[in-house]
Amino acid sequence: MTLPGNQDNPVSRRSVLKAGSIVGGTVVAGGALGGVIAALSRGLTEHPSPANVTAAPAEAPLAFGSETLPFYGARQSGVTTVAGTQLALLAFDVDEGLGRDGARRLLRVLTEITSKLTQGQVPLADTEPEMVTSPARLTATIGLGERFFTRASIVENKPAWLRQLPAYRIDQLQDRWNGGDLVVSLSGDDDLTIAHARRAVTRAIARWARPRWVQRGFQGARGARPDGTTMRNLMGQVDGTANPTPGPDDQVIWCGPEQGVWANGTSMVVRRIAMNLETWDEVDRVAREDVMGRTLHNGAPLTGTEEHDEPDFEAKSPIGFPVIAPYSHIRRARSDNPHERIYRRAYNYDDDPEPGELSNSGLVFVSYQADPMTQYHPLQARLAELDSLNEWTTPIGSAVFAVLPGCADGEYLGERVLGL
Amino acid sequence: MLANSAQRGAQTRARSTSRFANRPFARATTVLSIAALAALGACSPGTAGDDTHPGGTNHTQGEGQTASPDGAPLVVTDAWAKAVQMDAEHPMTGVFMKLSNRTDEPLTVASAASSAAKMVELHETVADENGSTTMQKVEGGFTIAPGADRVLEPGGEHVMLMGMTQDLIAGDEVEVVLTLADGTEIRVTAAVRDFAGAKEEYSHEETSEH
Repeated sequence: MTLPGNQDNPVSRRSVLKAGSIVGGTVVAGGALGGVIAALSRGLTEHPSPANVTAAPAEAPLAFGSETLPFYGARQSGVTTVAGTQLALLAFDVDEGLGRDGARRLLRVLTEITSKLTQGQVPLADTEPEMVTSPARLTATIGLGERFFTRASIVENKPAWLRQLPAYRIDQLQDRWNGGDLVVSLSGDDDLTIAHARRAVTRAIARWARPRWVQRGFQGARGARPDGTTMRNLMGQVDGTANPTPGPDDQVIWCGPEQGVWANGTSMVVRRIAMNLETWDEVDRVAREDVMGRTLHNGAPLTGTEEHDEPDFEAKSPIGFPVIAPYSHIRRARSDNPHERIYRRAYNYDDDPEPGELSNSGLVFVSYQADPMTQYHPLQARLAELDSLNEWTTPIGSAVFAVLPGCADGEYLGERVLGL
Repeated sequence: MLANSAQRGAQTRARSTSRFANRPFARATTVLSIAALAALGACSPGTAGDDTHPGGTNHTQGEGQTASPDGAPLVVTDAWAKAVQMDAEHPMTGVFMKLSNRTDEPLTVASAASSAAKMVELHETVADENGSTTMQKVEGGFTIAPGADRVLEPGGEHVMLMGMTQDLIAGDEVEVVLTLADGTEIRVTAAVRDFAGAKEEYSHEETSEH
């Protein structure tokens, strides 16, 4: 016995009824509503002609829209996987009374949503299924802040290194850009896809977590430059050249077996770096290169010709001064200790200026390292002590998160690590 | 996505039961009685039903999936239920899913049951000539054509849980048993999710036709 309005006819009473429910399903009599429902029904099927009873399937996304990066695995994607050109870094505060049950539910829901969206699949209860069909290398990397462990009553599982960074002399931190109990780092090549992912995540965890800050960033439209080109920041510098190599340098990037259940996790340091572009405008090209220690043309060190040439910090100019100045950024960032390295994955921000200002731009600096206290902190302390770049950059936000190890299909992120 | 769901279904052990002559409700072709519902036993939040272990059996299948053995006649995927509190003003909620008929004969879901609610019905949403919508019990259940899918979704058909006996909290699971016309039972584990829509059921009276 079949019912009226069967599954096979999308231009049917069913789609009309769906339109009715979208307008709230409240009782309104009369032909006006009928007209509205009819119009909505046409909109839903995307084909205005009533003779077209079968909606055409969505065309396959063009170019890179259908590319995906894996979700499941020993390690989360979005750290060393190829960086999408767009970033939406979402920090949340969680309920004080979250507890273990709340933490478990939150992470289960979050894992289900992100495991599907990153693969171009529709999560349960998603009201915009058409917005998931172009994953475009979407990754969703999830990390926990120090206070999450307190509020979830799982302090015993917190990694020893997880706390906020100490204050540095150069900091002018604003609380609105600091901290966070939970972070979801969304990156990919399609901003519409990222916007939907941000909405899906935010509304699904709203019962336990509320947005604290969102830092959006960009590296440059995919396809405008050859894939793999190191990005430029808004001071015009090639930014991100000297990064540890995934694989050979894994012990720098990922937590090792000595961290127990946190093995294959990592730490995420987020520093919002404001740039003073007005005073940077006053600096001529030679001076700009001297500040950095690298050319502007291709990011090569001043002692080299290609971007990835190893800098020669001993090289002297004909009159005896170091070619790469001792106060330059790359000289100050270099440590003799090979462990004091960080894996950078930064994005530009270019926001609306404050009243009276011309610009509000800078870097959403993000780095990953096995231990932020022994790897990021010494580096930042050295730069705070001396780095000519400090004249034009100021940290205005700071946060540290523990990035969860990956999980297998059928598990949820944090399940093992947190003992939930 | 459907292929993955089928693969997951094929990997799990059998959960559907065929009709046995000596099972008291296997002969029934109408909605299960409330007494039979009580006989199903309690389903505590976060667990997956009869063969539970810590963490819930359906972790191996992913959220909203259902155990269907190889060759199961009806495959159920993407099952979810809207979160609701027992002490809500209208303690009722909808369960949604995709039903896939893998046989070459029509299949009918005749009834459904759950320990999470005192009464479970199969509902459709209909509009009257004025455009207002109401939900009503579907007499005869949901029939799925051979080889076809039927999607239960907000604003359309759904399994209605009424008179909740437990809270359904987002992130947890709830078990619903579908009974086919021939008495075959399909155990569905639905993932509970917060959902802003599907409010129309709360604007009506708590009768079976509402």
